[in-house]
Amino acid sequence: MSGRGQDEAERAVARLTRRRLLGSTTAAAAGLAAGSFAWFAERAPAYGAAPNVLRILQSEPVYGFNPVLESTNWPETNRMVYNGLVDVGPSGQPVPGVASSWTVNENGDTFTFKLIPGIKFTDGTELTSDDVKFTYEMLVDPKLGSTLGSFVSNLKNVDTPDKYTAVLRFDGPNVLMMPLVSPMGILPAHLWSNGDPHTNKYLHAPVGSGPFIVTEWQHGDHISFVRNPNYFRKPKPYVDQVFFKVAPDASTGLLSFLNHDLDVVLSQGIPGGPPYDQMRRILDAKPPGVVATVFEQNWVQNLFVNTAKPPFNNVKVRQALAHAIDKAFIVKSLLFGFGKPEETLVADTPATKWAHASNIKPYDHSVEKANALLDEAGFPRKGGTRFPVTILATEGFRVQLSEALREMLRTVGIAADIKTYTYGEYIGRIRQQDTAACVWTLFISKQMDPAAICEYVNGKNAHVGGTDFSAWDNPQVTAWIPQARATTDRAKRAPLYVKIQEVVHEEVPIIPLYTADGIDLWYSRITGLHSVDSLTGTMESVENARITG
Amino acid sequence: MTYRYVAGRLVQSLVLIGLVVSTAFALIHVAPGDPVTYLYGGQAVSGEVLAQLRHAWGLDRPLWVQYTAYMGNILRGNLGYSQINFQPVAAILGESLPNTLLLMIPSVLLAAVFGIALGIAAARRPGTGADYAIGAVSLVSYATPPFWLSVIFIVVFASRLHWFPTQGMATLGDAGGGLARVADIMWHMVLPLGVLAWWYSASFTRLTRASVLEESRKYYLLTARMKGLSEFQVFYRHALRNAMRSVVTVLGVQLGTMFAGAVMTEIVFAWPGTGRVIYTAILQHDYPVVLGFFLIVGAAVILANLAVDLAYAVIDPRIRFA
Repeated sequence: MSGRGQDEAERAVARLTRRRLLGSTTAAAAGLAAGSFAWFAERAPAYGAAPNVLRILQSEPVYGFNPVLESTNWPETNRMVYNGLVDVGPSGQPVPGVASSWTVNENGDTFTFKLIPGIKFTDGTELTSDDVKFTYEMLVDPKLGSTLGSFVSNLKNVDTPDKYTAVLRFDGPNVLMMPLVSPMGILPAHLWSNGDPHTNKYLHAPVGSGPFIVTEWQHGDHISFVRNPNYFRKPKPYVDQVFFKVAPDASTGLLSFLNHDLDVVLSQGIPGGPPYDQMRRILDAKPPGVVATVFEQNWVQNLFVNTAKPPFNNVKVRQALAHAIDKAFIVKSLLFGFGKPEETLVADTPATKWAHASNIKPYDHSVEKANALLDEAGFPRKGGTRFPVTILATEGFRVQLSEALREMLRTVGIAADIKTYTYGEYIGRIRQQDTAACVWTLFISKQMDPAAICEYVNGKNAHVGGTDFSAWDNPQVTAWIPQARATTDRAKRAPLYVKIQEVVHEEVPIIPLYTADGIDLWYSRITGLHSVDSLTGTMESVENARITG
Repeated sequence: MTYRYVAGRLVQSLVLIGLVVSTAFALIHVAPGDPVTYLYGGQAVSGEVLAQLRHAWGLDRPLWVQYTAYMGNILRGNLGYSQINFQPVAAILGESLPNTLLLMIPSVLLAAVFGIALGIAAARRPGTGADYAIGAVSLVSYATPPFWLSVIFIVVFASRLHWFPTQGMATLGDAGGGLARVADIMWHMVLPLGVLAWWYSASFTRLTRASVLEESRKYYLLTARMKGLSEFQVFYRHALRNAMRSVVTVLGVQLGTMFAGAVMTEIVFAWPGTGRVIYTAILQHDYPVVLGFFLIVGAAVILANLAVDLAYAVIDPRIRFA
């Protein structure tokens, strides 16, 4: 730097008195404040909305509107903007969606859907069988790794004999297509066929055939939908605008609801379930004008152990564990009564009731029986303790559950230490089977058919990285699982699932703990909503909602 | 010499920022788990599909390849793309950062004003009841977890008294515009701002009191009094001005770190800021978002420190840069 430059710099600093600094800083701060408020005012939510508005709590934001990619997070939310081939009726049965009718051949490997003519996407193009073909081909594209896709991975091809007929042909029968996958939204092929779908701009500004159109999305805060005036089920939808309000803390979200800042709280918008204690207080208090719907969900909380490594490679230890756990206590004290104990691999829930083995005698909660089995297994108490185990946990509800389990294990002489991880680390450790002498829980959702849960006890998946997390390989069960999927005839399938459940119950690679209820809340001025657990869930009925009074 | 000093410090800062990002990169990859495991690990998805996804996302490449690719992108001004959130990192941070700053800047400034005022009040009357009362209040403020205070504020001021909204940054679906919108945002800000200002003010109070008392014991104040200056002049023109150096240091650091947001306060009040974004990104192993965030916060802290160092010269004429 030149000498002259240095002098100027020195003079500049000399001129910068404290008073000038304070003055200019204040002026700058005031300018900044005024400017930022003007900027925020510009970005604030769309005002001037009609009073016919529904505000729904979402405790986690959705990632993007593509049902193929979004299947891990909130598949239900996609129903706002897309329609599936079918919808799910009040008792869980398929009813027409964009398909007016469908047939399944006797082998269960060919599904023919007849589409309703004239359905338009919101950009004006017609929804045709080409869009169905495109969406289902995207679903099974292994590069995208859609979790829903894994349920229809034997899809061979999709034929489109005409504009309104789509024929899905599978390589062998598929039992999960109708109950689980068929409500998945159909994408407009012309907007998704180019480039990587992960970076497609329509993830955030979707074009669908559904009842609503996204008009604004402030990430982490809210999504605004307005009614699709050209929806094919006229005069639906009845509300003019819907907001998904993101409130990451579900407890505060519930307070907002009680404060009338929100109109609807849906269980599906709260991952891991709502805060049950708070829900119990709300239901007991019976706030005026609040409609509370408690409904059965098709998901089960299961306890896992690694059956390939000591001490849980001993079946007696696993049976002792089943006796040591007081499921009724968990349901009463942690779920506040919102659920019921579960005893079998195929749960006694609406979708799988037909295959549930009701004949199985539960492992009753008995410290004596657990102690006797552990003694027999060769694990005597030494100084009060038989052996140590680690309970793997994540933040949130699983910590409470783990603490309850630790106490239950202590009563039978098993010293348990709880290790808490982030969910990614937790599930990574479980997948890698780094779980010797560990106990952990996983809730498995969307059990619309017993075939789904069986993948967790299928010996073919018992390798490191597979989905048989307990590393349990029973040749009989492994042989029955594909047999039970080889037909769509429930009369033939159910006995096989009963046999599978009997062996699983005897060998205890998994201990089913409980099913938890869904709890939906809305104000009585809202009618037409219907609580159901499916791929599209209660969200399916938002198009029927009306606001009165 | 000033320009050369500033230029030197800027170069140092850039190197430091690079180090911050590199360390973050190493740490995040040392931690077990990855975004694919987070998203799909618990689902009935085979290990082969998971491997395919890792390949598609470039997560199976050697770490040094991933590192050089990332640093190359950073140098080209590309913060990367979040495969989990389906958005460019710049868009994610660009959307949440202004919200955080809108909340944090007034919180820290308000805390500084009140904290310094209380600190001065305590230091003017050391050992009196007022001093002890201010000390007790600031101790309680500092020891109160902001998330707990947030819930209390919501229960009292929103749920019971209905003075303020429970959460969010603006009312949904209400009529109004222009100034009404500004008023609405400010109305939503009151509770989270109150919590944060309450918490931040405690450290300013304690620091101001301690620094002023420290200065009060020095001989130059005796000299000032001997010159016949009034107590007001002695205190405000001499003692306080010198005491402010340490307060400005803290203020600078606070202004830098506030880019990180206040995670729990943002979560409880559903404030759509960076604190919550980074919290979620860490849980999800969303590498590009976490690294982009470290880059921004690191740069903010380092530059705030530089600004504080330069401000010393203005506050204290004895300091010259060389």
